Amino acid sequence: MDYRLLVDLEALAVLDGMPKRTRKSLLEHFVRLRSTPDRHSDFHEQDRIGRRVEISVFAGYAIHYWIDFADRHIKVLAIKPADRQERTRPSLMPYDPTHPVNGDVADADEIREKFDFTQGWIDARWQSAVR
Amino acid sequence: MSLAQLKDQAAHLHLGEQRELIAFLIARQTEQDEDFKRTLAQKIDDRDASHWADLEDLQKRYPE
Repeated sequence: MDYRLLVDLEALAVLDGMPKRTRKSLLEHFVRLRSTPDRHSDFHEQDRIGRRVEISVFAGYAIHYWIDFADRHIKVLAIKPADRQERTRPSLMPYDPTHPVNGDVADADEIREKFDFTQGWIDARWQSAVR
Repeated sequence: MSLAQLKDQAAHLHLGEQRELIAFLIARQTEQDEDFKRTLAQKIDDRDASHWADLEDLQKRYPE
């Protein structure tokens, strides 16, 4: 039986800010995590009182999650760029579609799509470069 | 062993071993971070449903 996978709101904000392709890959990874959470742990750490928190490295991100065996929940506690401590990847300036200078919402959505695609390309190039 | 030698050896590990090494280093970095460990504990204990989204919510939120 699958677990129920829950994502913390701060981790949700990280998902909101990442390129669509990366997010899609991570969601597919979450589906696998939900089925076999212990199989996808690459290492573990401990919270303040010693509970085991798993770390899964995927698509350039470190996913910190806790397996609640009793309630059959998986809580995704944090999602962080795996290379954050090493170096900062190049990034486009964030585009704010709500800024009045940036035109109407339809145009803003189109520009956001292009931004996501370009950022995804940069991410892929960056990941292959640091490998 | 020098850092250059370590990097060279790491580059020859299998992908799964590289992921394990990255996760190990991340855990090493955060084990001294009391704020982060406290935050992890608070989130584990947080049973307020409004603070969580389940996978089905995410799949609706991101239909791409």
